[in-house]
Amino acid sequence: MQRRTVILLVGLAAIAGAGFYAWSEYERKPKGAAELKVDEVLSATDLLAAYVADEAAADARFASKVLEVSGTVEGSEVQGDKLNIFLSTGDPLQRIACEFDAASAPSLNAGDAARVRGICAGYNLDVLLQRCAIAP
Amino acid sequence: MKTNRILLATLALLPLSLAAQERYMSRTGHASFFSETKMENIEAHNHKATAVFDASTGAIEMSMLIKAFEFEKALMQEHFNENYMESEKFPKATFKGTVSGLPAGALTKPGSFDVEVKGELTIHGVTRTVTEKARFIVDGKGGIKAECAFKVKPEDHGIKIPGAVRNNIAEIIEVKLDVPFSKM
Repeated sequence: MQRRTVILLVGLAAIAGAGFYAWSEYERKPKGAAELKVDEVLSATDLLAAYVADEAAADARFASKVLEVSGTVEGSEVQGDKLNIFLSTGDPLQRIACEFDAASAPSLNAGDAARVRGICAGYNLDVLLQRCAIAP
Repeated sequence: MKTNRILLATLALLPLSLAAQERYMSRTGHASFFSETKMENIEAHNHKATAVFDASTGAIEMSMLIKAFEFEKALMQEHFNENYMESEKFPKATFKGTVSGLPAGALTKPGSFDVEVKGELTIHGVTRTVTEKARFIVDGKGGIKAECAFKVKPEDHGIKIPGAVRNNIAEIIEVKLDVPFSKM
């Protein structure tokens, strides 16, 4: 009897654990770059140059990865609940667009040097980094 | 790559005098989609769609990164990219077409203008010809935006939904575009 009770309790605990894991996995929020390990550190100029040289190869190397990109702030703009900070690449038509949550975005001005961590989404005129944070 | 080259060539080669009057561009187009089922609702947003519109010819091109769609839940975003859209293989959705029904000079004065957009919509590597209603809204202070809402059937673009989650994803997905344009 005692053994059956233990087995029953273990079974219920396993079911509860699996249910909790499934629920927490379902409810999991996307992580910001600040919570993730950096995959590559490079300059804004080098990041754009890699995409211009070979977009497919650059995507294979950078897309979905956490990048720490250094550069000079070209400007910024608020877009809904986002703040976009643009890093200069030396090419007036193409920038590194860094998307921050406006509520927690840093205060940066044009001409400031910055190191931004973000998750690379790819290249579409600008190279896009999302869920960004200022590198410590 | 090809889309970027076309957009860049348009930007770089266009004579400035002509560009100032006729061509409009956006790098911050907002694209969203919504799937509603009894099981769950799924919504995602992309704030970095690019577009170029030539008001003199009606030609319009648009491009967006699939990985740039953000979801409230990480698992949805992972399944969207890895299982359905295969964003590593098909990183962009594009549209290339023409706008008709926009009166000459409409974008220089405040107003709202209903138009028709027709062209080639490529999602998941599958191109289909579409015709949709859209609207240009001009605020008279230099602000011009285009709005469009349309429906997409994932199967029409070769997107396979596994049977196990078929009831979680709508058969018809509602897509909305809200694109602020500025003069080039």
